[in-house]
Amino acid sequence: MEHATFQNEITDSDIRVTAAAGNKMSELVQSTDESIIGIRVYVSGGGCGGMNYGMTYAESATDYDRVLNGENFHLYADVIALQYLTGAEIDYVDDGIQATFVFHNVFQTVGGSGACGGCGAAS
Amino acid sequence: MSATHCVALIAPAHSYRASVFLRVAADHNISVVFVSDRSANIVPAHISGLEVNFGELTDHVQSICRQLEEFGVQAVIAPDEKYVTLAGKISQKLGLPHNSIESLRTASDKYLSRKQLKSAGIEGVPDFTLIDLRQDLDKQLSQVRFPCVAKPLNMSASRGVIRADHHVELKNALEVIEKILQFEFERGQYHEVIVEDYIGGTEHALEAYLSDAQLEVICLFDKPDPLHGPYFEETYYITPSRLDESIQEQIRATVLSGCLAIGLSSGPVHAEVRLFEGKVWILEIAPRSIGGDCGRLFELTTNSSIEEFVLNRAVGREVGTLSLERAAGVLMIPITESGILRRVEGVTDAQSIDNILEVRIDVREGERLVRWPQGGKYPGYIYALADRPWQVESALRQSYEMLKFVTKPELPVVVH
Repeated sequence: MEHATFQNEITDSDIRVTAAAGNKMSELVQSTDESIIGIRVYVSGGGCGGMNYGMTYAESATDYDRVLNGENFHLYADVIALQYLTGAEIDYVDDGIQATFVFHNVFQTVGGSGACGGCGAAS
Repeated sequence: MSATHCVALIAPAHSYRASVFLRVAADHNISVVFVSDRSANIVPAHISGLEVNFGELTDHVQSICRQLEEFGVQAVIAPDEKYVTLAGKISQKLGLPHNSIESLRTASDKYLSRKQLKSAGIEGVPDFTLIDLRQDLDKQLSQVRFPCVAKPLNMSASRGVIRADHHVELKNALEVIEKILQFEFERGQYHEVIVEDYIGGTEHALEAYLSDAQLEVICLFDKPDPLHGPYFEETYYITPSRLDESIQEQIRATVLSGCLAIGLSSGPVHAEVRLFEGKVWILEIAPRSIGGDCGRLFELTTNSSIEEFVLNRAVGREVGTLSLERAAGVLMIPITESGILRRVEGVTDAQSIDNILEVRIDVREGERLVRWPQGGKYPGYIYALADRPWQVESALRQSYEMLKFVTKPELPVVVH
């Protein structure tokens, strides 16, 4: 049995953050108050359309979080979310009409489309 | 004691309306065959049922009927509007009382229902145009009068309903609705919208039961907040209505005419109307009871419930009209800011206001709150009971003032 070192850091082989996305995350974190410690990526759903991916501010880290330590920002994802994000690239695009983070390559491991299939939610 | 009555309940596994029916049926010794799409769901530990794939449901009506016959069901109930037509089809094949399939199809489609109401000569129906989002919009919108309201044909809870005061606003509204339709349904499944005259005035909701061409009023709700748009999420429902008796009767008679024009003959009816310049305008007639969370008002304020009333009537038990003896109301708590919920403040203070029965928060930390018109889920409800309607309204308003939903923004994400 070999010895190994485990770490809670997210590396480029887990999620790659482009320079544009990193700059934007840094800008967003700098513009908030002290209660915000970084950006959180989360995954929800799992219905017929696959998983839904989202981002919000992180106020605290949990024991289940992994962290990507960027320049002037931290990106948090819990281990479950990370399973669905491995190999993904997060970019930021502002084309003058829409400014948004763009997740590339998230479906290679998990399938789905990221959109809700509208399978009959109560309305 | 073995159950003497049996109903089939058709609903998706996570339907909050179905869970109330299941609980009430158990309390009233009515056995239920639950026809649903998943084995792990909201049902109690042991309940008979048929697991079906709703996507293929219409192909399996015959086999579902064969199995339901073995259970000896006396009625088929679909609490969620989406499955009302299917329940009708199954009832028809089983020879059980039901509204005609055509009337159910008409009632579930805003375009078909307006067309039917107009052709039957019902006066209080806004003029409307059917818009195909795939075709040239400028040409189709050239005859539209403003202000107007654009609506998807088959969504509920005012989702995607948007007022427009001029051409540019209308085109923007249609763009938003198209995105909602694309998000909610399979691509290309729905691409039509109606655009109808905006009707001012006050809005009211009628809860009633239809049988033998008679409409038995359960209650008439006033909606005291102005619903001018551009979006139309519900807020306050207060009953009894403070309208004159003669106007209340006018509303009942107009809704009954509407039901008969659509072809409905029996069962619960939930109608939305507007009162403008002394005339009743029909916005919606749905062959279902009020939604479970608002319907909970009856449970909190009477010793009965709307579900109990509907179930007992469905199996032919004699039950008197469900009535609220005091003034009561519910506030569907509006979402004022989209985002990720951090916490809800002031719940204890909101609960402590006189005449407040319950403040119920249905969202948890980390949940997404989405404003209308994209949103369709209220974060909670406040219920009140008092001697007079104005006291109910006042209590609900004071209670709501105490609540604060603290959110953090959801950052824009696109997935490729």
